[in-house]
Amino acid sequence: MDSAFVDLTCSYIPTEVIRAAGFTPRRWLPAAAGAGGGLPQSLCCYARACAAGSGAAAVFTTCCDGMRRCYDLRALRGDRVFILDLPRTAHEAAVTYFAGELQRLADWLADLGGRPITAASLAEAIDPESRRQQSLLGMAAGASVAEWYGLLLKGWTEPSTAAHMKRGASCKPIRNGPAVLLTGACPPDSGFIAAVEESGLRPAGLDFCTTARCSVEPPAGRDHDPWLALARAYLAKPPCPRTADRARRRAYLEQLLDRTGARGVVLYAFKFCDHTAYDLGLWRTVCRHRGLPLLYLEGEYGARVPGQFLTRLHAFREALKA
Amino acid sequence: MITVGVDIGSVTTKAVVLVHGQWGGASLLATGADNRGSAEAALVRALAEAGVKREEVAVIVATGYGRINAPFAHRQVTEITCHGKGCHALLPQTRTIVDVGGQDSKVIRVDDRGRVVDFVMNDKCAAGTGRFLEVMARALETDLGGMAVLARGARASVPISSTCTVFAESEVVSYVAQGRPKEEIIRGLHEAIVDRLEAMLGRVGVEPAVAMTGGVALNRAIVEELGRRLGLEVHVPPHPQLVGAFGAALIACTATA
Amino acid sequence: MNLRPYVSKLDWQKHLRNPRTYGVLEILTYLWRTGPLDAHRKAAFRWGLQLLRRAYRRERPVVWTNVYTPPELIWALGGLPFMPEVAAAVVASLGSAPALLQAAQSAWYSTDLCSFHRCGLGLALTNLAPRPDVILATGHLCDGAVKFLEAAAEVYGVPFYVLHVPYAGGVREVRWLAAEMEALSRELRPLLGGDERLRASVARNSNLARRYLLEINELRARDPTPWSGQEALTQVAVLFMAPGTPGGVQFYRWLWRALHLRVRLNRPAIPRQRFRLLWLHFRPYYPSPTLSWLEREAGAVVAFEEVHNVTWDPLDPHAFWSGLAARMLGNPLWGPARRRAEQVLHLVRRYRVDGVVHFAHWGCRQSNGAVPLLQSTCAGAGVPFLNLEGDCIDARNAGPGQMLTRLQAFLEVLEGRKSGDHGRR
Repeated sequence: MDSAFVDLTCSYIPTEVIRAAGFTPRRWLPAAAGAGGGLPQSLCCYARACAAGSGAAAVFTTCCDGMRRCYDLRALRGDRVFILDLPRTAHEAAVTYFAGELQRLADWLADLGGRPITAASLAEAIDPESRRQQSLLGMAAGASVAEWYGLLLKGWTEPSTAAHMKRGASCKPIRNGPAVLLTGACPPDSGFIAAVEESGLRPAGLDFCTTARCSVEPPAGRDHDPWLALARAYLAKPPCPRTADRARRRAYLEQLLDRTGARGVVLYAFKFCDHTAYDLGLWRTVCRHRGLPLLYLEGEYGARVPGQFLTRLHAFREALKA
Repeated sequence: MITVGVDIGSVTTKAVVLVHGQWGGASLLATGADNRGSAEAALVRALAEAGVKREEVAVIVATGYGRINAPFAHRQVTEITCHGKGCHALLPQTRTIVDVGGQDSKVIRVDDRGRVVDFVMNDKCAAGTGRFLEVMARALETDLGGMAVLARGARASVPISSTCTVFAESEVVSYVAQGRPKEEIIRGLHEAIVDRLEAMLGRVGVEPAVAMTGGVALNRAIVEELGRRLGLEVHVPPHPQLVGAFGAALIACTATA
Repeated sequence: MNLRPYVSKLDWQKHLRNPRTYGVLEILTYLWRTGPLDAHRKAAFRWGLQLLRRAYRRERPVVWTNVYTPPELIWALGGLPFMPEVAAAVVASLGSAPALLQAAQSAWYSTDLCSFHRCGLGLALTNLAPRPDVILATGHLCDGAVKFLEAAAEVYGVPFYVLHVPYAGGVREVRWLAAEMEALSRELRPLLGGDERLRASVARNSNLARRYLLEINELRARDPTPWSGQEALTQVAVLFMAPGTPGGVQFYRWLWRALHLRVRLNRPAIPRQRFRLLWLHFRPYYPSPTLSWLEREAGAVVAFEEVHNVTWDPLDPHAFWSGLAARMLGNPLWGPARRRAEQVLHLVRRYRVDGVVHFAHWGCRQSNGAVPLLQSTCAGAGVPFLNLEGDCIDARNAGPGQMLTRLQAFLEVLEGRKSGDHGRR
């Protein structure tokens, strides 16, 4: 049993708190949904995949109905699980509330046998963790983006290994294809990105829970209380489709498009992920406003990329080149 | 006392005649577009095989989706209850029944008297049913019997990830285009069906002994794969397609007692 | 995006936007003769007409919100609550949901999403519903409610507020949510009006309605039950929107009188009650012969449904916000599903039901995701449980034959438990 690890199912769970308690945070991205642990087939396939645990303790958030029910199922089974209540906005009262939730998480970790966390020990954990996150996200994409993503995932899911530090050059980088922005939830492997590259498109940016949206700005020193500082930093990070601040999410998407110079957007949705389904409306508005084409693909978490995707990606590339 | 059970399914219609509680005769034919006609024809054939006249029959129970199209039936009982009763009578140790028919699949748990305790059904899509195998057999240019043989002989399998029959067929076409061996594709298809059955079993719970009924139970590859997944032997009663009609005929006996 | 093909099919429904339509209908209700056994139906209908007339006439600022938001919150803020999910059920019952669902689908809203929300979006996209002045979403009970209301706010270009409802229900959380509600009331006062005097009258009406509802629930525990859960699930619109208003009090008073009389006259809900069921979630609101069959032919009455269980304390006008906060946080349908499972067990015992039916509405993740827990809880208590898949609004997502087979098989299970017999006679 991996008692040193704590599996995390959402990028809003501060890894700093896990580290401060003496555990190693690990992003939980199981290979596939499998039987889903008895959860209905009509639930998000990532939530169903998380019904299977690794044996380690796991932290969930109230990020979506599917995850809440996955937590319920795992709690019923007697797994060591915790659910962190996640506000949808970043206003002051939400920050205070979330800070309280983080302290509740700390108490649970202590019950698991972790180190009690003080304000000082938490403050000490913040900088190294922030540096680690930034070094992972800031890896140079010397090889293909797919390979870069694979290395990044190793950094999140196998934090004890140094595998993510290796640089492979087995894939030829795509330099000349039309630049596209990829957006979606949390692909557990590089298969989708590799398919995008194979079709001749150049992923200029990745807006996933495992990439750009993981980027948390280190607390700015505004709060003396590190709990408040951490809560504020996490709620202020790039907003995911789940947040209920459409203006902020839109501003973030516009910024991404400006920064990447993308000529098109590929939205890769997991089946039954309602947040992504509603995010499509926002993307359509943004893309229409900018005159950018949008390709919407719906797939299963952990499944190999089907032939239909390749056809659509090829057609999208042809349309962008025309 | 003579009773009859008629199971009017979406693909086939079956009838079983019991003479003093013993097997007298049976029939199986394609349902087609005329439920009433096929129900009547199945009844007539089964009676002929049993050497019994219609007026000698005490009670007829109809089951299956087309059960409302058997005006000659005295009672209508759902196929869930009939499969539970019938399978338990044939294999008394049965507590969990997996029925995979032409267009639907179900898992039924019964008690020690063959009474249904819980059930779950999939009849909203063809994935995991006999129709799934038929579509794939056509795509692979083989027949259903041949598929089971090939699957059992395969040493590896390809993953079929789609939950939809149409998309799965598209995946099969892709694999064929990639030159993957036919037997590995077929093995993957069988595993995909068992994946769905396993999920359904998870929902109602598995209590040994486990039995499989319906036309797909004639496919040894599916039966063996399911057994491997469950770590249990999966029993198949004789004439698995007729279990529903048999159960209906048994219920008819109970009704007259 | 050209919505004209859809709106043109809905031309006759333009009359829906005319407040006079409701005034005329209200007058016509005087011709509807009712007695003490069904006066509550007329009361509900009239209340609904009055609400719509007031909303279209914009007598008060219209606040769109999701079901399970306490209507007292909106009434006390000075607004007039309009719940698109309730409107979706009404539209479905009139057979008009398909055009609205199609409008949402054409705007790229996936058919995997809850049809209550898709229909609500269809109302926004076709501009048929009373236009909101502000939209308030609570994350209580589901994500979809926040998201579809957020999208509707963008369609209308109106302010959108979201009230985060904490997941746990302790003292800290009640205090926090009450503070949020108070902050919201301050922020919305310039737009909605609302003051302490409104809170007092809203609390008074809410508490009166609550008392009647408690009595009603007590009467429904009788065997045979005097009120059909099928009708209760139709009248659930009153529960969601009327408490806090005199109309709500009137409805529950009439209903209580009707049930009291039924008990006295020994007039059960259905003539031949064979089985008592506990119903979880909602029901198909489009015309569905399957559910009529359940009561009329199979003798299976819904003795109670979880949504009507009263789990909240009376409101204190001097602690209004904390009272509402406690109510929201105390709802067993919110938070971890084990709370819901505990309530189900309690209701099974209280209403002495033979079985539990969970209506698995397509796209409802929060309810359907709880099924494994509900199933195992009922199995542990030895109570048969049926998960009945379907759709409350979109008739395309449900096969009547398939629903009928499942219900029949379930009743056969119940029959077998009672008598060891088989078959329908």
